[in-house]
Parts: sequence; C-alpha cells; structure tokens
Amino acid sequence: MENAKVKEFFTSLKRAACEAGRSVADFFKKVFQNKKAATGFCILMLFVLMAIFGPLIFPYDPTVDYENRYAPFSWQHIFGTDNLGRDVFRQLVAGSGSVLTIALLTGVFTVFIGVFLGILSGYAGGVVDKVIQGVTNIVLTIPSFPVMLVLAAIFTIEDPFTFALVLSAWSWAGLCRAVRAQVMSLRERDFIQICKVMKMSRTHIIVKELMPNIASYILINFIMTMRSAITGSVGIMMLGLAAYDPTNWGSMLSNAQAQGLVNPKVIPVLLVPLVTIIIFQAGAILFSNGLDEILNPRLRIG
Amino acid sequence: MRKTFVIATALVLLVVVIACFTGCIETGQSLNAEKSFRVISSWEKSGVGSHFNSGKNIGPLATFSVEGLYQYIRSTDEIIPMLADGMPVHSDDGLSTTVKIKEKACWQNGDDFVAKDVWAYYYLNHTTVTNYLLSVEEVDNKTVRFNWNPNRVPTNEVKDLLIAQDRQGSVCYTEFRVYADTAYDIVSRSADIPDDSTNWGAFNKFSTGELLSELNANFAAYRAHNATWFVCTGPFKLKRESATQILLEKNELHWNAENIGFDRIEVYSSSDQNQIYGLLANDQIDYLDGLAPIDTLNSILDSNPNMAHLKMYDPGSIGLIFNTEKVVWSDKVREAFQYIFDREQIKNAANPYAITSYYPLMGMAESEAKTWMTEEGFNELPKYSYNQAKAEELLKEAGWSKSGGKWYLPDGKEAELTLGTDKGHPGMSAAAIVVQSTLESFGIKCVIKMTDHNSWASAASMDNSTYDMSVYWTDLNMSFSYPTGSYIHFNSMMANVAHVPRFPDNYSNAQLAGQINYEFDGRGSKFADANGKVNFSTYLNNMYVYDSTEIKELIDIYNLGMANANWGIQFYQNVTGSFINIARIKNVPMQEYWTQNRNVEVVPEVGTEDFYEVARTNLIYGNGAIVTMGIYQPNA
Amino acid sequence: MEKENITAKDRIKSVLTKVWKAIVGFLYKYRYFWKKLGIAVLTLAFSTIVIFFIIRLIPGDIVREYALSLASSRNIPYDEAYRLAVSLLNYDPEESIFLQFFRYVGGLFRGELGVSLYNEDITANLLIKQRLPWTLFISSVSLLISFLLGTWLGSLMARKRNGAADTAISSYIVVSGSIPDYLMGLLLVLIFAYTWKIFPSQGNYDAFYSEPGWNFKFFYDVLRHAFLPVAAYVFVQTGTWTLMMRGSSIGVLGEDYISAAKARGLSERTITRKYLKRNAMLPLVTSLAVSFAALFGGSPLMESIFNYPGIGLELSARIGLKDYFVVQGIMFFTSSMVILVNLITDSIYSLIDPRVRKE
Repeated sequence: MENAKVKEFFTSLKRAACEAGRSVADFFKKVFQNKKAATGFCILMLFVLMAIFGPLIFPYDPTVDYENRYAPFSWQHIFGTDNLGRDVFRQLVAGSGSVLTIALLTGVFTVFIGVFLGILSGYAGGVVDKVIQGVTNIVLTIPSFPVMLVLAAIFTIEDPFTFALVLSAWSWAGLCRAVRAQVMSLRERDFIQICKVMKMSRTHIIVKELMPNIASYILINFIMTMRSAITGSVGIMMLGLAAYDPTNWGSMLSNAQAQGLVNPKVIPVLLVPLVTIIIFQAGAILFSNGLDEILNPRLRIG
Repeated sequence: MRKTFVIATALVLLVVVIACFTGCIETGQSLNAEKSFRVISSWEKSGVGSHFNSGKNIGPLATFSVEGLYQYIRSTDEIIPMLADGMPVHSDDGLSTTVKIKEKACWQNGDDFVAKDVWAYYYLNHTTVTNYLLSVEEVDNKTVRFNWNPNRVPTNEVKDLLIAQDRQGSVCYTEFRVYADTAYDIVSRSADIPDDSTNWGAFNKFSTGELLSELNANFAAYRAHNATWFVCTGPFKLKRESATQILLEKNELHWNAENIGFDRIEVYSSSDQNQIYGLLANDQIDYLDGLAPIDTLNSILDSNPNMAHLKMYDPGSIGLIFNTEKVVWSDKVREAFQYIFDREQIKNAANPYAITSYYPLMGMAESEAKTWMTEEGFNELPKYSYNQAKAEELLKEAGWSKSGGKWYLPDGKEAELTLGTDKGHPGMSAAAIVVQSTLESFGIKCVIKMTDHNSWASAASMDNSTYDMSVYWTDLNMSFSYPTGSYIHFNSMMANVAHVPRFPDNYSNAQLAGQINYEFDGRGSKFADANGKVNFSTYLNNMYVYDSTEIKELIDIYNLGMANANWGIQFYQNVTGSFINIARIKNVPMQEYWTQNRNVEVVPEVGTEDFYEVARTNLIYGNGAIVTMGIYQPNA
Repeated sequence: MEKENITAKDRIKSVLTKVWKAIVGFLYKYRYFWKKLGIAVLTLAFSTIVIFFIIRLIPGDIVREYALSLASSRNIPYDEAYRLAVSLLNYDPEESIFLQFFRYVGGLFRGELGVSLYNEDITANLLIKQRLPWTLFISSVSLLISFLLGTWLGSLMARKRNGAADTAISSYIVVSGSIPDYLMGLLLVLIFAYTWKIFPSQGNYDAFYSEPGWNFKFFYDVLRHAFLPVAAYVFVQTGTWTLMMRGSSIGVLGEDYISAAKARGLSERTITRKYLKRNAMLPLVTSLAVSFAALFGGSPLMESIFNYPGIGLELSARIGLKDYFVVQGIMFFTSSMVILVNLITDSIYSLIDPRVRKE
C-alpha cells in the first residue's frame, strides 16, 4: 500500500518533469519566435555569462596604480582606468556577479512573498484574506524610499543577501495584490469549480490548476523586480548606505560622481557603468515585453 | 486636448529660447560690477532664526554677520581686534584683563555696543573661558573687565586666545535682558567651588539640583527667544533667504563701513561635492575652502580662468584608527599594520600636496609636535617605514598564518576587517580605497563602509561597533594651536573610535566619570604620580596654566605615551586650501605665484608673511575677517 | 386631551422613525463608502504605529551625534558641546517609548505632526508647508505632461501597429524605461547646465535677483529652474504611460462599438477622438490618481541632484539627522495623502461604475 503510493508519487513526478521539460522547450521556441523576447533574452544571458565566466577570463586586480589614472580606452584597458588607476572594464566584470545576485535574490524574495501571500489571500478568503490585505494596504501607503533608508540604517548592508532583503522588504505588496485579484477571478472560473466539486486537494488545485494560469504574470513580474532592484541598489549605493564594494556598479557610479563631473576625464568612468546598467535594464524590459506579447493573447490581436 | 498640448509645447519652447538667450548673456560678464562676493554654505533651510544661539545652523551669518571682540585665525593664532579697540590689557598680577570697546561699535539696529552686552554674553553662554574666570564686570559703558580665578590662571597668551574665540557680538542686553539677569542671579546664588577641590565650573560656581534645572530652563527660553531683527553687529545684514540661497546686504552702520568694499554677499547651498565643483567651474561662486581631488582641481582651473587655488597647512593628520575593543588588535598585529602601507602612495592618492607622515597616531600633527615637544622627546618618537616583509614576520609572530595568498587568524578563521570612513571627505575616501586595495593585495579581506560623517561617527564609536578600523583624522586641532586643542578633540572624537579605556560613568570623582583612563609613562618629570605614571585625563583640562618649559615636558609625556600606545597610523599631515576668484576680487595674496600658475603649489612655511596672509583667506579659519578688515575688495 | 397627547407622541415617533429610516437608508445606500472609509481609517492607524516603531529601530545616540555636530559647527570642545546638546535637545532619552507614542498620537489629533528634536521652531507642519508646494509643482507638472504625451503616443501606437512610428516609439519606451530618473537628471545637468550652460544646474529660483511674488520675472525664473527636473521626469515617465495606453487602446479597438463606428463610415480621426481615447483613458485615470498620491513623498535622489528644495530631500536629510519626530510626521502625512487619494478615487469610481460596489 505504502509502496504503491510512493511509486505512484514517483511516476507522477516523472510525468510532471517530462511535461515541464516539454513546456520549457515549447516556451523557448515561442521566445525565439518573438524578436523582442529573443533580443532581451540574449542580452540577459550575456550578462549571466559575464558574471560566471568573466572573472576567470578578465581577473580584477584591486591594486591602486596612481600614476596610471584616467588612462584612455586601449587594448590593455578596454574602458580605460578610474581615478586610482584601476581597470574599469575589469571592475565592471568583477562586479556583475554581485549585482546580478542582488537582483536575482531580490526578485526571488519579492516574488516569493508576493505570490505566496497573494495566493493565500485570494484562495483562503475570510479573515486570512482580510489580515493579509490589511498588511498589504499599510505597506502600499507608507512611502517605500524612506523605509528603505531606515532599513539600510538598521541593517548594515554588507552582503548581497541583506541587500536583497532590504530591497524586497517593501516591494512585494503590489504583486501580492495583483496575484490575489487574479486568483479571485480564476477561483470563480468553471475549471476550478469543477476541481472543487471533484474534491481535489487544495495543494493540487493551487499547484496544478492555479499556478500555470498565473505563471506568465509572475515571470514578467520577476524580471521587472530584478530590474527595479538594480535601480534601487544603485540609489542606495549613491546615498552611501551600503558597504563600499569597488566593483559594484552603483559604487562605480557614485565614485565617479564624487570626483566631480567638471573633469572631462571622469565622464567615461561615469558613462561606462551607466551604459551597462541601461543595457541590462533594456534587456530586462525587452524580455518582459516580449513575454507579455507571447503569453498574453489579447495583445496578439490586430 | 490637442489645443492644450500645442499651447504647452509652445510655452516650453518659449522658455527654452529665452533661456538660451539669457544663458548666453550671463556668461559674457566677468568683472564685479555689482560688488558681490559669492560663496557656498549650509544653513537651516526652514529659516535661520533671529540670533546666533537660537540653536539653528545660521551658516553664512556666522561668517559675515556675527562678530566677537576679536577674531583669531586658526593655525596662525593671529588675533585681530574687531569690536574691541586694541589688544586686551593684562594686570601685573595676572588676575584681571581689561578690554576697551570701539566707540563706533554698534548693533545692526543702531543701538550702541556696550560693556553690558559682553557681560550678558558671558552669563548667558558659559563658554570655555568662564571656567577660568571669577567674574566679568562692566567698568564703564565701553570698558569690560575679566577677573581670573586665582586657582586657574592661564598664561597671558592663552587668555587672549580664550577671549578671542568667543562671539560676544551676539547677545544684545536690551533684547535679552530678562534671560541675562536671571542667569546672573542663578550663578550668584550657586555655591562657590572650594579652593582645594579638583572640580571646576563657570565663574568658579557649581550649579546643582534645583539651580541647575533653573539655569537650563532659562537657557532654553533664551534660545527660543524670537527677536524682530537678527541680533548681530557684523558688516552684513540678512536681506533675503530662500531654501537654496541667502542674500546678505552691507550694513552701513558698521564700525568699518567705509573700508568694506562689498555691497552684497550671495550665498548658495549644496551638500553635493559634484554640484559644488560645478558651481566653481561655471564661475558661479568666488570662494571655496578646502581641496578637490587633484585632477578635478586642475579641470576647475582649466574651465574657469578667473579661479586660483592657494594652499595652507592643516593642523591635523589623516590616518587609520584601530578599534582596540576588537580582539584581533594585539600589540604585535597593530605594530605589523604600521609596516603594511605605502604611506607615500596613500598620500598621493588622497592629497598629493600633503606631507607624508611616518609616525603612529601621536596626538598631534608632525609640524605641531615639532613646535611643542622638546628636541629629545621629538627624536624619541617611533617611526615606521613601508616594509611588508617585516609586517609578515610580525603577523606570524602574533600567530597569524598565510596560505594560498590569504591570511588566517590564530583561531584559523580567514582574516576579514571592516573599514569605516566619511564619504564626504575626498581625502579620506580615497585613502580608504587605497587601504582596502593594499590589504586585499596583501591577503587580508577588507570591507569598506562609507557613509556621511554623522552616521560613520555614531556607528564607529558605538560599543560592539561593526568597524574594526576607520580612516579618519588621527589628530586634529579644532581650536587655537595651543596643544590642548588636539588632546581635547582626541578625547571627544578619536578616542571613541579607538575605544580607549575610560573611567566608569558612575566613578566616585564625578568630573573624571566617563573620561579616558589611560596611563602614560611619566618620564621622571614632576607631573608623574607615585607610580611614575601620568593619566591622560589628569592634565587635560588645566594645561592652559603651564608655561613654556613645563608645557614641553608635559607634551613629551602625552605624545610619546600616545605613540607607544599605538592606537593608529598617521598617513599624512593634511594640506588644505582655498579657491579664490582673482578676477572679481582684489588683494588676493601670493600674486607673484598665481600670475604664473593659478594652482599655487607652494605651501607657505610656518611663520612667513604668506603663511599669515593665506590663512586669513580661509573663511573657516578666520571667518569674514578678511572682508570686514577691507583687505579683500571687489574688482568693480 | 389624552388622545391629543398620544397623537403628538405618535407624530414625534413617526418623525423620529422617518429620520431614523432616512439615516439608515442613507448609511445603507452608501454602505460601500462607509466600509471603505472604515478600512482607510484602520489602515491609517496601523501605518502610524508601523512608522513610529520602525523609526525607533535606527541605531545610534542622538545626544552624542548632536554634540559632535555642535562641536564642529561652533568650533568648541566636545565636552562643552555635549553639555550644550543635553540642555538643547527637545528630547528626553529617559521617557519610555510608549509615553512618546501617546504624546505623538495626542499631537496628531491637535494637528501637530511633530516638533524637531533640535529646535522647537522647526515642525513637520512647517517643513511640509515650505517644501511640499515645490515637490508638487515639479512632479505634478511632469506627471501631467507625461500623461498627455504618453496617452497620445500610446493610442498612436495602437492604431498604427508595426509601422515606423511603432518601432520608433517602442525603442523610446525601452530606452526611457532603462534609465533610472536620477541618472537621467545627472545626464541632463551635465549636458544643459555644465556643457551648454543654458539652464541653471540647481535650486528652485534665483533669490538674488528675483523676489517671490506675482511678477513675471519670478515666474519665468521658477519655470527656468524647473525645466531640467521636469524634463528628466517626463523623459522617464512617458514610456510607462505610453505602454499602458497602448494596451488599453488595443483592448478598446477590439470592442464592437469601434467596429460599428467604422461600419458607419466615421472618419478615423473622429473614432480616435470620440471613442478610442475616451474609453481607453478611463482605466488609466485610476493609475494617474495613484501616481499623484505617490508624489507627496517626493524623490530624494532626484531632488538632491538638482538641489531642489522638495519634501523628499528634506525627509532624507531629517532621516540622516535622526530627527525622529519630524520624520514620522512627514511620513504620516505622506501615507495619509495616499490613503485619502485612494479613498476618493475608489468612491468616485464606485459612483461611475456600479459593478465595483458589489465586490
């Protein structure tokens, strides 16, 4: 009896995995059919590759070389050097890891909290719903930037993990509310009602029936949260509230700005991380817009 | 809707066109026809209030509107009589000092500035000098007398400086009569401090309990007082204030009005270095104290041909302070760290004009130590070179180990240190970055936290602070160059960052409670106690009493004691400076230098005429004295 | 006599019942609104508590820090500065946090949002009065411009899909969405204020040469100073509105009445103006209201780049100073504005669209 159950569980798991594999392959096929999504995806993948393999190919040397400061672009220093003679390109590459980790973790935390509370609230209803919506309301009404300043003062931000926590602490509310609305409208749909009539377990309904229907929405939100996490982290860096990490793009920007933009030699040092951030953000936007078009059939008409 | 859109677009275009037009005109003018002096400052943006002691930051008014009897220039100790007529006259027995007030001195509302005003100032504001006084009295309308406490008589030179550092021209007796009379009454009713006591207090009185709370309540009421005019005597009046700008206008009633050439002071505000550099480069401000990173400085001078930069010694050094509360800082490790850094390189990156120091933290900057210590004492100071091999050796002796290019602590953990610094100071932040990169190359992981000064200071001096070390002033003299200034500042600032041991807060001797408790070697002098030691706090508050030979012995004890305690590393003695617009302002010193190179790289030697002249140009060192005295004139 | 009495009583009774019924009817008719109001008040109460306690979590010793700043601003020794700080601070470190909270709530009921620790003259009310108009000025002007521009571009995109305009606008949307607004501000200052020197780099008006009042010079000066921050905001925000309008317009274009109008042979211009824009903009108005409410908080980074004396810059400066009472006052004000604007939009929406009331 027990054994059979375990077996059944594994076969269902296998089937689920196969299904997932097929749907992932299908998904990528769709992505590459859409120009926007494909471009965005390629840009994001480029950044991921840069974060993983970049530091191995272009290791960063933190040694200050004062004589060689503000070197122009050259083969030796692709994007020149900064005010202390450190290679700007290598800083950029070395920093991509931590920047992407912060963005990724923020995305994961935000989406996790938002989706979890959203589904719980929308599906459970009643008192649970009221309490969660109350908390969401409060979070939405208190301005986020001052709260972020306060949180940054309370927690000493030294690693990507704390950084992501501070960034996501106040950013999940919008997603939570949207997911709840989606779940509420889905709950009334026929197929869920049928599942309920068939007395299927709650987890089954949520995981198998609800999740696929809001997955696209969550994915797009995840990418957009990653995008705003980068804006937020650069802002916190520019205000000097987080530990200075010479390779973090935000500290590169704020360091360049502190040198004074009246010095024309500082401009490339400022523009390089700025343009990198813009390219990353553009990639995220393209990808999420493309996904929106693929997964949201309404936009395909016309 | 289309119409609104068209109209809006047209309006925007109009603004752009007019802006281009006026923008082009404004850049055309260069000389100073409107006789203005344009500076940058910060103040309480919601309103500066109506007097100096209102508790609000009054910014430019403190520089150009509030005067004292004298103005002393920081770093040179030059004293310039302002409201006073000539220097103070000391009695032969040294127990009293008389100051004459200028006949023409008056308040901005037209009332005469009189001795009673000075009297009111001291009874309301118990400044440092009152700790050495018995009373301040009005001899006649324009003469005031200071009576010194016979148990604590400072040397004559110090008396002048103590009087000169106050702003007596900020309390008008007729305006603040109620509070001044009450304060005098409370002080008179307080008990005298007995002769044999080690306690000290304003006017040799010690207010406690009921009287103290009365005194505080009176002070709070005085502070909150709202006058109908800004109470001051200075050469410039508050004309208009906005959240980002202040306009000051010449005060025609001022005692030196005929010699003051400027008609208006235009004050901008900004807390952002980048913006300030932009204002300098675009010829929007005439003066800025301090130094920019060298390349920025050069590009400011390149883009603004009217700007010159003068340099001057700063009575302070920048370096690294260890948080001795942390177990990692054993004696050996601190010694090893003295050898790790290439101080020359740090100085170059932080401030190439500064003077590299090879000393540990020792209580004062090298130039001051040379002046105030005996020759033998000065030569005894430990000096460290850049020698990483020696550092490795010492670290290994301390139980550290190195493998795979990384250092491990005696307990086997990887060495990782957190470094704090002030983001707003270009020299400190650059030095901190070099410290980080040096340590990382050396094999010690280092995390930097750069925040604004206040956040750094509170985080670094907290118990169980996250900072293992900080790049900051290792020593700094905020007041006149008498050596006590450095120690008092160390006591209040750096000692907290280094977490130097202190007497408990509930210590039996109330005046020592919470003070530093660290014993130096007494060097066999008369200052040493029975064990041959001198405690840091024993002489901190009565050093002013000792004369030239005694003071040198005492300074030897303090400086050598601090150097041997090894609380930090000096990287360099700072050199600061001032940007000055040479086209709009006449009589800028060192003309023979800036006509050749507007970035004057010569730092005037101590004691030369240039040394005095350049220090006067610094509005932080000398307030507005240079304008009030009529030295600076507009190039109209 | 008795009868009369009874009738009088009855009359009173009937009047009372009528009034009662009217009240109940009124309450019942707008029950949706009362519920919303209740939720709003509750949210406000809880936000007040959250704000109060979250600010208390900031580590640090105010007295010490104030003494430090006094020492450096007045050039006086630290121990003297410390004594001065203790007597000057408007704050009793001994007072328990709950007493502080009750004092704070009591103040709120009297309309006093909070007094600065450092000076009794500085209050949250004063700061809001001085700073908020400037923040609202630049941000609402830019919100309006970007909304109008965005809806225009969005409907254009929806109508001319896959054309040259579509490509151009979509590229703009991607670029504008990729730049954080304060970095856009930094770039604009660099180009227009430093390099070309057309616009002032900072401030809200030039107090040296123009005096506040109803005169052209002052007006023009204010506009000139607002230009760069507004331009930065508009550049960044327009993309979002365009995208929203595009989505909404595509939805409307698929509706029957548009096809019907086309069938009737109405010109495209009429269709766009009369049917498309009006209907597509309706859902955007809610977002506009929400965005408007968010403006009350200001934008610290943007305002600091232009040294624009707005509420956001002031708030972040006060957080730095740990001026607790003022910070919580301003934050309370901001969140109550958000709640109020939401309440108003919800109520108006429910009046327009009865379907909403059911929810």
